[in-house]
Amino acid sequence: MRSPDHAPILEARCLTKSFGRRPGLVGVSLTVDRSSVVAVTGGNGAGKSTLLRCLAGIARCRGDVLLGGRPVDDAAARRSFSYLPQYVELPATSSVAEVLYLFARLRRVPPESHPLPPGFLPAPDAVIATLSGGQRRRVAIAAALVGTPALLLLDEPDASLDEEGRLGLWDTLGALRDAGTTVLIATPASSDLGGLADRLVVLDDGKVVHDALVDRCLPSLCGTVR
Amino acid sequence: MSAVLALAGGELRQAARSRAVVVGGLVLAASATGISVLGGSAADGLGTASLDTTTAALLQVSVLLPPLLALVLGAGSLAGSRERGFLGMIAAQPVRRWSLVGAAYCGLASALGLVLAFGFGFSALALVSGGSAGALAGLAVLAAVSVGATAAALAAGLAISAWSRGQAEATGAAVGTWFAFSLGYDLVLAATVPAVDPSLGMTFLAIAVNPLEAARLLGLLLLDGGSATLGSLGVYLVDRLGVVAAAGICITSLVVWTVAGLSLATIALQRRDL
Repeated sequence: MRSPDHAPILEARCLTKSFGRRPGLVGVSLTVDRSSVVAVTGGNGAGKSTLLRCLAGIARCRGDVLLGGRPVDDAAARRSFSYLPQYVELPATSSVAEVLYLFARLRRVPPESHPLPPGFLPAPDAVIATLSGGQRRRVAIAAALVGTPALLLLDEPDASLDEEGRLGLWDTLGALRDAGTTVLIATPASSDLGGLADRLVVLDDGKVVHDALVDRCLPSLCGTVR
Repeated sequence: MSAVLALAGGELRQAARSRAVVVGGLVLAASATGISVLGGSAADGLGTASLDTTTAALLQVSVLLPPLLALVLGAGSLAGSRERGFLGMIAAQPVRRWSLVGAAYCGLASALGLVLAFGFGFSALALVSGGSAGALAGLAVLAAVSVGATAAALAAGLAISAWSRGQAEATGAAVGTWFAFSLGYDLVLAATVPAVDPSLGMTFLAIAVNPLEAARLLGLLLLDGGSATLGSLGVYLVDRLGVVAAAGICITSLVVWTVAGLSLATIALQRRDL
């Protein structure tokens, strides 16, 4: 067995989850090395969000998830990643600064320790309830990136972002990848990740139907994700 | 512990800014003050040997209104946060599942503490300014009983919240629970007590299943209510065990409800998807 320092940043073995009779994930296995961007793609209901929720340990699945060689419930493993849900409503009466402060306290880092460029976030004293959907998404992204964990699990992070926000996000994630961070992005098959993805994992009906580096990916299976 | 404090602080801020808490505080203050001032002119204070109607009415407010608020706030907390995706995002941070329950409890208990302090504090000021300072001891007993009932109701609300599928379901279940405790319980008791011979075990069970009844009985015992106000269960318990043991059973019931509620909520968060 590899030591945690040399283990893949993420290893999922035979993840299986069902919602009643409907399969959510069927025996999904995935190994992700450090310093890479993996796009998990597929149509609606393919299992992208379920996979990320299982990897984050917030959905109970059969199978194993190891983060840096440690089980996902391990305290050190939980410090090594962050998760951004596809849909999240931040506390409406909190300010931007209060939201970032909360996540910074949980990770024991300064609130300003997110890598996003100046101007990406609304004013710190802006109240969440007064922000647009895109601005709220920016705050949620910043909260997930506070402390810059080694692994980012991002479920459609660019949803409701404008073009400027999207480009700023891709630039930030690219720089993080170059600095050693690993990013898993769940995204629809028609998404443009700005050339960010190194590898594409295609899901269909809860199963991995294709897993390849971007330049070797079959257009018929990978769609237009790049 | 740092995570619990951070999350509890956030929960307290959210609750303190919510209309339910502000309205709850105002209604409690208005009810307690109104009953104290209006009733005070007809009686010589609170907690007298022969329990007057003013104290009885205040006791009802103390064990019914704050627990209703606690049940509804607790029920909305975890279920609402999960529905909004925020609980999942927080649970993916380096925090334990039990600390999510502990933080919600601490944060909401602090907000409810402010409500009780405002409500009973305002009532105390009214009593003092009206020259009824002697009634403050009785008011303190009522406040303490209310704290116990509210603490138990909040834990029950969190348990309902953690096991519910959504916020609307949790809130409905919380209101239903409150009606069952405050109204349904009396109806069941009225229908069954005359038909069965009371036993110590049954009496204990009847008090244990309802934290609001345990708090009400505890208040009556501490305020030295006569047998006319204790009800058949209370009279039987005092006759068999004495006042101190009867009060102990009531306090035990409140503690068990609090611990059981928090335990059930923690089990739910550990087993369920967030």
